Parts: sequence; structure tokens; C-alpha cells
Amino acid sequence: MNILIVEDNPISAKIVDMTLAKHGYSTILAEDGEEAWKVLTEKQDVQLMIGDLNLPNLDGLSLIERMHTHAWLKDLPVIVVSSENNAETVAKAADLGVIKYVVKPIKASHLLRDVKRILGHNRNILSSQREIQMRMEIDRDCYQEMIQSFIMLVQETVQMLRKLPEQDDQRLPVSEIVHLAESAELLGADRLHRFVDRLTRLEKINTYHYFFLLHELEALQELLPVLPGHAPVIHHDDGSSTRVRLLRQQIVQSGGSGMNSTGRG
Amino acid sequence: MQINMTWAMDAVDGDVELLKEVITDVVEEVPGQLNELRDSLQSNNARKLEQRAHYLKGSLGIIGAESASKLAAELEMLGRRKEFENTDRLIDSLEHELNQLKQFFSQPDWEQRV
Repeated sequence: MNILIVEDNPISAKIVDMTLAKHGYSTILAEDGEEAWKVLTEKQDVQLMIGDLNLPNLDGLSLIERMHTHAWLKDLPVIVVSSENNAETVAKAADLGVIKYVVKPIKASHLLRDVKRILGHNRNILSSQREIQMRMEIDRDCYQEMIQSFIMLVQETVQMLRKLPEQDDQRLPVSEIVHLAESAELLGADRLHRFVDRLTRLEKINTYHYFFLLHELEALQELLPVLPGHAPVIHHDDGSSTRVRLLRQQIVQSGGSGMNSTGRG
Repeated sequence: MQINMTWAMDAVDGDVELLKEVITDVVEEVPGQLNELRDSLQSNNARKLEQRAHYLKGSLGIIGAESASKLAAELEMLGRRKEFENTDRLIDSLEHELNQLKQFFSQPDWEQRV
């Protein structure tokens, strides 16, 4: 996941870049609008753009306007960081869907708070096939192969989870879960990746963790194509599905320490 | 010369080492930026004046050089309006401010003096 910083002032760029890097974000720098456009439309995986408006070659507002004409760039979240504070410019930025308008001088802590909030809200259940193919430079067949392996892995994890409440040792088998987290990251299942990554650091999971994981797996199963030989998901009015509902029942019936029957769903 | 350390520390989220690094960068590029400003004046290039002044305004604002940043903002405005009348005087004032800043930040104990 990358954050594109579009800034012609190297001092401002350095501060934003180093602040984000300190908090684990990877960044790409562009010095003008045209360079940013090149980054956005080529193979880079950009999740957020932080940009100045007063830029050489192609100014910030024109860059955002151009992004609106592009199918998969029009929804990219944008934070503007500019010394321009006249009402007309701010209104134009708002019309173009800019998610946050920050007037310079920069306050790193505020910017960081905005970045965390925006990226938290935009975590993907699953990235699109096109996005993954572009990011990893793979063809359709290769993507299909990966997604099929991922489906298998999700199903195996579900099976493993079913058995967990019956076992004396209810800790998650870390190696298997790490594998799931890695695959989720690779295929842009950001929310699952983030959650599973957190789970691997816990000694014991509770009912909340358990059902949250099932919820995420359910969300993925809705999106993933059903493998031949597997029963399709049957939807119910309450939003659950047969596969997951049965699984929940089984978990609740199995009981076990650290889990109770008052979980979600 | 006015230095607003709250601006500067806010800019770097309290990271003093990063601030020192940034101050060094700004101080080093000051002579070149001043030359650019004077060039734009000599060639009556309002767009260049506006751009260079905008650049200095941003850099100086980050390190908390409040009064110098305000002078740069005035120059930027003159460039935008294509007015050259007071530009020379403002560039002189800015140069004076920048020399003071350079002197101030070259002191080893400048942090204690702010």
C-alpha cells in the first residue's frame, strides 16, 4: 500500500515523507502533476494521494480533474496540503471530492491522524482483479490460480476454526494463520489481513475475535467465486448465509472455555 | 526576526532531529533562492517571482521563520499581481531576515534561545 506525495517543495515533501515512514507507511514522491499522473496510471499501487495545488507542469486541481475521467482513479482519496486558502479554491477542491483540505504550514500530527482515519475507512474487503493484476504484473490466468488457492485456504481455515472449540489448546495455529494473512495481503483483502495479523499476536482468542473472523471470511466468500463441488452460499433475510450460520451454531454448541454463546450474529 | 517554534515543532510532530535536518536544508538553499528572486526582478518575470517567493514562503514557514515567511508571501502576491514597484525593497528586507536566520541557526545552542 503506497501513499503518493505530490509536492514540489522538497522540504515539505521530506517532512510528510519522513512522518509517514516513521509510522510504517510506504510512500512515492512526485514533484509535479505530470509526474504524479505517470505514477498513478502506471503500475504503482496507490491508496491515497497527498498533494499540493501550486505545482509545475500540471497543477493540483487539474490533476484531480484528470483523475475524475479515469475509471479506477476517480475514487482515490485525496488530501490537499496547500498554502492557498481562498474560498474559491477550497470550494473547487471540495467539488472535486477532495476528502481533506489542509492549509499550510503543515502539522505532521494532524496529517498523520487524517491519513490513519482515511486509510482505516478504505480498507478493502478484496481488491479488484484488475488492481491486483496491475500491482503484481500478472495475467488473468495467474490471478485465477492465486484466487483459487486463496479460496481453498479460506475454506481450510474455516474447517480449522470449526475444530478449535473442541480442542484443549484453543490457541490459533500461528503458522496457518500467518499464511492466511500473507495471502490476504497479496490479494488486497486488507481488512482480513490486518485483523488476522493482530490475532496472531494474541495468546487466546475470545468469542468476539472468533465471530469477527467468521464475518470477514463470510464477506470474502460472498465475493469469491464458488469452487466446483462446493455448495453455494444461501442467503437469509438477516444477512447471514447457511454456510456461516451452520458454522456459528456448531461453534456455539461446542462451547469451550474462552467462548460463549453471546457473540455477534 | 520572529521565530515561531510552535509552527516548527508542529510541522515535524516534535521530532527535533528532523527539524534540525530541515533547517540545514533551508539555510543551505537560501542564497540560491535569493538569486532566483533577483533574476526574476531583473527580467520582469512576474510568474517566476511568484513561484520562487511561494517556494520560500513554504520552506520558511515550516522552520517557523514567521517574519521571513510573511515577506516571501508579500513578494508572491506582488508577482501574482505583476507589480514590481516595491519588489526590490522587499527582497532586500527578506535578505536581511535570511542573514539573521542563518546566523541564529548557526549557533550551537539555538534551541535553548528559542
